[in-house]
Amino acid sequence: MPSETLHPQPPTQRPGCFFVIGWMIATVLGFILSLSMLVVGERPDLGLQQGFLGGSVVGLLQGLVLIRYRFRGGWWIVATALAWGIAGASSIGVVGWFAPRGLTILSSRLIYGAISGLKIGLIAGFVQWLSLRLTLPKFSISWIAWNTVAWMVGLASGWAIGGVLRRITNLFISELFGLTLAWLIVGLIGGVALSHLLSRTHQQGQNAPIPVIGRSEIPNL
Amino acid sequence: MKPYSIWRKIILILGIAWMIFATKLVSLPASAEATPAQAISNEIRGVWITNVASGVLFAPWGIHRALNQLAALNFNTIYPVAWNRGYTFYPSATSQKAIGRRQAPIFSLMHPGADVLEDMVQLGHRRQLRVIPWFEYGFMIPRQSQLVLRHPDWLSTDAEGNARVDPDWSSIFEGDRQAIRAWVGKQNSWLNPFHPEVQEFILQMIVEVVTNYDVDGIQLDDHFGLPIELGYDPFTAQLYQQSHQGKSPPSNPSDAEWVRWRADKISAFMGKIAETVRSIKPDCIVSLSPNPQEFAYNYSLQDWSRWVQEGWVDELVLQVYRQELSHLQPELFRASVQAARQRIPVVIGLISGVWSDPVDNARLRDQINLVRQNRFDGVSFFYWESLMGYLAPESPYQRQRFLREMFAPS
Repeated sequence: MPSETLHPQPPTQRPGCFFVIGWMIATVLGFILSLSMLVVGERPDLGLQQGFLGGSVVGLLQGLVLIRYRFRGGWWIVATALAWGIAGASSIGVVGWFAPRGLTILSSRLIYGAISGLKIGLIAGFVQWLSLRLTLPKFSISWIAWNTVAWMVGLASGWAIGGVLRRITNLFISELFGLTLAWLIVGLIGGVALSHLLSRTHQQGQNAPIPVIGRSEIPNL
Repeated sequence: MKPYSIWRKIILILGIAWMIFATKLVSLPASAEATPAQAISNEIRGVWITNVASGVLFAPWGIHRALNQLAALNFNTIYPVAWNRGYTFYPSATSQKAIGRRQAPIFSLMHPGADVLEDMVQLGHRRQLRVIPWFEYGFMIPRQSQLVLRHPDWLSTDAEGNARVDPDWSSIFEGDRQAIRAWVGKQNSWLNPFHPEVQEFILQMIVEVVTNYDVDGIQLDDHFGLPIELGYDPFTAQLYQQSHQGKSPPSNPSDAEWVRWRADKISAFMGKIAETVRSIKPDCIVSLSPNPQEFAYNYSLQDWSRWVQEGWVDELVLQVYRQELSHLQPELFRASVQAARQRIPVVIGLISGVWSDPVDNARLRDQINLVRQNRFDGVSFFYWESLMGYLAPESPYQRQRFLREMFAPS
């Protein structure tokens, strides 16, 4: 008999309002902490290494929130690092850590931000969804859509605000404020969506019949 | 599989493919061509590292990253802050005795148990960087600092007995920029440079640094002086009366004899510092970073031309923070500068920007080229955060590429 059935995992906690706040703080704090390890620049300045590093830090802090609610956060950390590594190595770029180069018109930043947000949202959302599916088989695929929306809105707003501030101040640090705003929005929308989707999965787990054999049939493990 | 699902997938794939293609169409502007002027073979390339409006001293790994980058870009000198806003930035017994703190509190919090200056000296020397701790605030001190609260008698005052001037609140609230700037400036008081206890305090800090660290030198700047309107405190007035048959200091702070008397007192203290430093470590550089002589003497009682002539200064880093080349150029040809060049290396201090006045690569390039064309001994930038951090118009990567090009080995 598998050991999990002898020592089952404690049941997950239903995420609520505090989860959203915690998720938002973890996301923004992750971004800020990552700045002690990598420097914000423009598209060609950051690649696979920076993407992987930045994704690891943000993923770690978000993973800790998941663990706090007794979801398995380890795979989430790996998935987030992997997603940003892929972004860094591909034409998507480490969009969460760079400012668009040569775009000074607000509408260009909004459009370019939304397009870039769409790309990173899809990639990260997909890999993160897979990671949660490893332990929550019923976790909804709609996470990918939510994450994509979060990044489209977040990056478009962040890059636009960063651009406006930069035009006013003529300082590159403006882009950092813009990116922090982007991560804040991503943390907020992502937190709300994740809270809702995990609650639903949690509810389904509560209503499911108690399995008797096998790890894969035990919900929320 | 449902047919609409297949269509959704096709649309999605086409959409993603289009977006990736579209992204590649965004044109990137070509970087500005830099044409560095020929540098002298042993050009001094310095940068000041401060705690004010800068996170480099506080961020985890910030100092290591900064020094490694500077070395990689062929810089050879750093001037890290050692004394600023009433605190030291190294564990100081003198500071402990005077204010009950060994070093700046937030700095200590960010580097618990560490001696950052020692780390900088070691890392700097491994990277072939000269490390010259900089006593940034000199006699200037925030009026709410522990030192002021514990030793109010150490302050100098103006003719009305004020250690500072009260702010013009109505103008400040109306947004008058000049009033705001004046108000910010008046947040500081000035230690009395003629007071023996003040002199001893400053001297002992310098002695500590020279004795306890393998530094290449020490640096004083434009704050090692006194604003001309000060010097009317009872201690200084009495000192003046003793040498002027009981006469009080002239009410006009710009009175030539009164200016000369105070400047000479500061000069004498400068001589004492140089002598003390050399008695401890003969090859230790005494570096000075003043404003141009005329301004330094007439507004800060700092007669640095004399200090150079007396041999008290080994390296002059003249602060010439000007926006226009046409304003920078005349400063380089002043008699005091040319006289100094006959005796010691003269480096030109350039401003790489502050938050209210960012400086772009093009302006920096023009200024560096002008300094080089006039065969000065080097350049030093105020300060790291605006030179290579985020407080610049360009990204840190762009700045680094620019500096790499300017300071590439010839």
